[in-house]
Amino acid sequence: MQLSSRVARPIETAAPPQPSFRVQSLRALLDAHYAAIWRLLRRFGVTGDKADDAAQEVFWIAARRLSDIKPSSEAAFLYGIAIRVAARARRERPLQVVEQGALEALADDRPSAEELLDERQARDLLDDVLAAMDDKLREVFVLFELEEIEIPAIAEILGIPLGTVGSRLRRAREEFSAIAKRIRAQLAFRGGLR
Amino acid sequence: MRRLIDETDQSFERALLRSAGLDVAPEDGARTAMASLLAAAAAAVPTAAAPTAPPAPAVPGAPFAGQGATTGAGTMVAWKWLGIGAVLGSMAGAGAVAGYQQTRVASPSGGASVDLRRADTPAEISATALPAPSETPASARAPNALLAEEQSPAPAPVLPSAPQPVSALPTGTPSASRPRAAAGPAVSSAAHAETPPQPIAESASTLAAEALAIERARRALAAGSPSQAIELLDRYEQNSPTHALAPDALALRIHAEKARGNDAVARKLAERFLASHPNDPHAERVRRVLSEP
Repeated sequence: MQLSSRVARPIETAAPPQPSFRVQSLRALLDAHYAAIWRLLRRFGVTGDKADDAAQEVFWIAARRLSDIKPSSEAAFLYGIAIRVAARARRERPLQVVEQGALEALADDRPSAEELLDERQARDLLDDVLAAMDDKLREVFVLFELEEIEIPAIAEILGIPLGTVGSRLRRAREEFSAIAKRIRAQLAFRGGLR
Repeated sequence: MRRLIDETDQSFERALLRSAGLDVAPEDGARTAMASLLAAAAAAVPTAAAPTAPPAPAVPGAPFAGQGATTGAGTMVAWKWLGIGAVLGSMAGAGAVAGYQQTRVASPSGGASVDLRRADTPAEISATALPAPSETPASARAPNALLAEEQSPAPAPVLPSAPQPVSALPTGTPSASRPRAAAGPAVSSAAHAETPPQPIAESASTLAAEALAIERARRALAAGSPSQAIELLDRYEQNSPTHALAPDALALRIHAEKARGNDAVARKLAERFLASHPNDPHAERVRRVLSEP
């Protein structure tokens, strides 16, 4: 297709303004935050192939409200959207707890859980543990423990008081440990794990 | 407060937490997301999925390619908007925005410029914007007034008859499934066929609708009809649900008023614009309106 074969148009002395879609701001946002948002979505249970779509969804929503974003609050703004997008994805596709494949792969393996869990299997199990957690507890847990975001920033992202972040994090850790213990017990039951 | 991974005495927990290090976004994720979002904003028509078709070659020397006839700093460049505009005239404006591929953009603050050009991306996006003429614009299904008015037939496309097969966006790009639900299959992709939840689809189509409305006005101005541009902008003001693109609309209005000789109005609007949006990408050119005689 020869687009250049279009009749040459006179260029006005005051050339028309450039296209309106606020591509620049969106692009800057993507460059700065895409990887983190993708990762966050992943950690909130949006698995691999859906994470791309969900990430785009986050930036699509953000693009509509670019004028609302203060530069210093970009990350918090995006994270908040990402959490809601992930929550919606979860409602539509409930996560399966305790992936069978991970269990079976370990069934006849060597004793030590940590040794024999290769990273990929561990990641799958982490998904299972996180999926089993209460939503609000999972939020603070993922943000603090996995994203390594500081408590004050978490408070901003979630729009909750500092104290609430702290107490939720404590409860989240308890829940995480309890679920992890349960899953580990299941593994042990399945195959001779120590 | 230390992280659990450093505090726990459970090696199993440590192993679980450590495994999160596997979560790494695809390297070209941002870029492909950008391409998808651009296409999604413009994609209001169904397109045939042809994921293996090669993209149209880049068109060098298009009048507005490269720096374009604009400031060259802090503004976006219409890559092939002329050709796109012609086709879009026949497609009721759908897909107009897709023709805009940023090439080199300087940040408004004059910082490092960002090269957004990908050799194949512009063509892919423009190809996406060129659906077969016989297809019904999915704008017929648009939820709001901005797109709904795009029903009238338009002059025949001036481009050669064979529509460019719609090429897929870069491999691995999920389909722009957001606007698809609102406005029919937009970006071609066989990989992801999910229907997005309704609120997101509304967001997508709203922004797309607004972008299209402004684009229509822009083309009117570029075609030498500033009064029509003003009229379209008035309609945008009335119908836009979010006014997300209000600065763009105002900048366009300023140029349109100037073009039709209403210097005083243009200057007043320009002053208002610069007071509200001093660092806007359009600010540079709006300033020029004030400085010109």
